[in-house]
Amino acid sequence: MKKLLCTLVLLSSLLPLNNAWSFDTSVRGFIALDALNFEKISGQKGSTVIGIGVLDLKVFAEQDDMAAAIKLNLDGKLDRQNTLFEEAYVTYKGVPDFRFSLGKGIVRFQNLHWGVIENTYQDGGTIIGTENQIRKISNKAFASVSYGGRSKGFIDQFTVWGDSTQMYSDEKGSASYVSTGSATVKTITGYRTEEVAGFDTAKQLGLANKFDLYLTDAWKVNFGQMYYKNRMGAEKANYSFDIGANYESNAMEFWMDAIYGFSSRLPYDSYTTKAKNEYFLQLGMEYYLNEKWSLVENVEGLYVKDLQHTYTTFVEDGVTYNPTTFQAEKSGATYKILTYKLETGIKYKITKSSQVTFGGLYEKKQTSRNGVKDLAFVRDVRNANTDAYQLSASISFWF
Amino acid sequence: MKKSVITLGLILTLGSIMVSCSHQTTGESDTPDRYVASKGCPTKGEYHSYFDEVERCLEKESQK
Repeated sequence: MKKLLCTLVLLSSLLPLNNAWSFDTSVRGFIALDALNFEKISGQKGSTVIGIGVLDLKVFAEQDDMAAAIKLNLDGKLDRQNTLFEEAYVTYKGVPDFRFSLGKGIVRFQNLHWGVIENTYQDGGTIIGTENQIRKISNKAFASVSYGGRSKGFIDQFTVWGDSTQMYSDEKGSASYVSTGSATVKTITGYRTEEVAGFDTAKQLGLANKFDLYLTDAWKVNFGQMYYKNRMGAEKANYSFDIGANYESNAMEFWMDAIYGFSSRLPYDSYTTKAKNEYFLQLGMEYYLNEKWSLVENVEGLYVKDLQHTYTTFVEDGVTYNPTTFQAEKSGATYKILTYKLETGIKYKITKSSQVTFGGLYEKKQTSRNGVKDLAFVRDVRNANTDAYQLSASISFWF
Repeated sequence: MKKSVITLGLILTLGSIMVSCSHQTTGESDTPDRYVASKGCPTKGEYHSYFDEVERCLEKESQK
């Protein structure tokens, strides 16, 4: 209590009496509340979820040619360090039509769009789980430059980026294992990693580009590319190509996104793959019935071909490393996974900046392992051959 | 003595807050320019593009 009072006394001395609340900032936010959300996966018990679906808050501050932005992802996993700040960057806009940004945030190359009651597969919008490695790239250290504007008819944004978690290297510059077992016989469960404020280009390098082209007032198309290489012994680089389109008029809105991606990770990484090829397609539309009501439809499909690493016993620096049971089980296997979802719903506009959405979703996943279909269980593939549905009523509010 | 200091601090704090609040006006002439500018920016949008649109709008408005 005393501490609190002392803090208040200190605060009072810092408060300027005039213009005390005149901050040179703008605060914007978005909240989506799941008023009622029922999910049912085949073979499992259905459940009702009530709570916060999305809660994002972004603070913009400007001074002359400099601007800063901080985005708080308040619905994220708050127990993980630093995930609260999804974005925190500074922008210099002193050169006409150019913007130079530096900080932590989202790397843009896709045409991301929310579905009806769920987010896109590119941002975790699934009930049964997806195996795509190419997703929205967020919480990354980055430096970007963009040129253009809507008045010029295009915007191009080029980004150099890196992960905020980096592999730890030993004195020889090699990756270091996390392992269990005796001094001479071990099994490897991962690599030692370290949290970094800025990434080291000797260890990793990411590049991305997004080109938005405004064809007319209603039509916009975009082309994106992404490249990422973990230089700590990864065999191949990851890369992806994106083509997207948006149409918006007083009568309807249409969106499309198509992605091809290739990824490869080290054998003992989390979500490891030797070679993963993936194809993603999203199509959606919102049709405005009148000023208050609109119909929304969204379809997404994802096909993943995933070749696993081969795990065998090997000796390194006098230590014998054996594969774990799980590693041996998936060694050298090829998974082919098709996941798709269909969403439909209706929106009711309550006010200028709030709405209620009622909708349903059906989702299905089909997995084969080395050509064998309909397996009840496939190692490292969640809900391998199953379907699910969801019914939802949510309230969205922008401010 | 301690009680007096805490009481005095509390009075000063509440007094400062009240005086600060009393200096706020709703008249447009006293409202900072950027606050007015952000009013013209989108108040609704697609989840992934909403903040980008607001950011572009704020920049455009502030350059006027």
